[in-house]
Amino acid sequence: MSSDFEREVGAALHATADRLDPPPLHLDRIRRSGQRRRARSVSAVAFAMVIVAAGITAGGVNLFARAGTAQVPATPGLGRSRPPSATRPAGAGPSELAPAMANVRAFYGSYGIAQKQGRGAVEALIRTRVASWYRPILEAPSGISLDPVGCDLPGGARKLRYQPVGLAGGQAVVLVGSRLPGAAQTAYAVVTAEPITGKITGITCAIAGAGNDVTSTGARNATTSLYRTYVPARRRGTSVKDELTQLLAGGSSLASPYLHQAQYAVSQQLVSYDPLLCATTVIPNVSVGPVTIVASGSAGLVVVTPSNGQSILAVIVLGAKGWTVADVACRRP
Amino acid sequence: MRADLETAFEEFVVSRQARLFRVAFLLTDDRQHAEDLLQSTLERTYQHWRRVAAAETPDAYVHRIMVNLANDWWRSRRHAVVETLETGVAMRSAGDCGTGQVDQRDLLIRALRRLPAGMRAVLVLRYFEDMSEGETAVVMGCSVGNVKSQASRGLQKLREAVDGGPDVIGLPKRSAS
Repeated sequence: MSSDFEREVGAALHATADRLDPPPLHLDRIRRSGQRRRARSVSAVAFAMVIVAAGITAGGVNLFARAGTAQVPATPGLGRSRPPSATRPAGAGPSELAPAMANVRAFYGSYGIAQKQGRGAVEALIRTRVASWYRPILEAPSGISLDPVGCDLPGGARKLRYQPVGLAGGQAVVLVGSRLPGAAQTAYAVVTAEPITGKITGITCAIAGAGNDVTSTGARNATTSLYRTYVPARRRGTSVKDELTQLLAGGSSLASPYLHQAQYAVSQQLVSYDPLLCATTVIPNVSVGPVTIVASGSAGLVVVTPSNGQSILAVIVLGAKGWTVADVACRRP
Repeated sequence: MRADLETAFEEFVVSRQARLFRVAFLLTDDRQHAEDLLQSTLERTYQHWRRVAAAETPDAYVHRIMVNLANDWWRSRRHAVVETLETGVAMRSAGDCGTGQVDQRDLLIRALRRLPAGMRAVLVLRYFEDMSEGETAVVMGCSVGNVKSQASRGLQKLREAVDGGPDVIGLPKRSAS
């Protein structure tokens, strides 16, 4: 169409710029300025977090609109009586959550646009923002009608609210929320991310205010029950694929998008690790730790500690079929 | 920062410095501004280096920083810059016309400099950096459709500037269609 002209424009740009020699750069000056900028931005974030924490402490303010009747503060360690939280509160280390916040914002800020552009754009976005080991699982069929990536959060990117929760099970946890139109309910994506790079390692969709409040006991029992079945079966020699299939044969696990996706990814040999134990070779013992309730009571974070060290974070929701392990977030296996 | 990250940053700067400076020059209007833009871009890159290094396409990340900084700079200096450029173009055109030796590429570059910052950035990324529309969209933080329309309108404006300029030997004129 206009390729000659485009080539001419390219040639003009090259003719103008290619003859330029770059200026001498002083790396030390760049480093010093960069360090100053970093220090300033960390201070600013810390200051903002102190203000937010003070607001929450003083008035029990929830950053999200209150949803439903059985409100549970999204910030752990407050409100409803429950065992000590394993999640470090957001105010304790804002810089530790900054990469995750930035990446999750960037992901959900572009997700709607990418969807309109088509599958290729969504895949490109996922490639950029999602941890490589979780990508095959996230892209697998989920067995639910809800979009397991965008969680069908209403209102478009501009209506989304982001809230850092804290660090738990080696994961940075960020809530992405949006009020459902015409209802007192809030839809959430509970997003876990690798703390250093901010890459997404798990997404759980949850709706608060729908009478599906998660309790610590329920979340812990659901997690214990899953691993009490899974680990002995794996020890007996059952393959990951067969055991996941077995879990999906009935009960509340049927409603778990993660188990559907993991089963698919394993059966298609898209992942080479055990997506429930986050291990590649050994089958460790696991202990189920304390629970943190988030997303206005619609999801529970349960820290699972395998005997070989690296913590796992299980996300529990209460669905129509009962307690469901909706996601298992791993560090790089 | 860890030693390996420091080394990686140094290698990145050494390998990309010349290219980034040329992009900076095309995004701004002179060498001095380009040097400032490059410096600021690398400072920001260093500030976020851990994240940049972990990205699958660090170059896109750095380009994005540069384009955003260039846009901020244009916004803050809009009026002064327009005045400078117009004056500069008028003076140079008068001199060129006097000798009858206006170079077609010079004309294109002058027209490019009069484009809005975002449109100019799209053309620089597409036709100097040879980025695809998708890659350009990622750097610009907009949709592919937006990139297409910006590029199309930018090229149209360049054509109009070229067609409306003085007669130039060898300049590809747009067909009447």
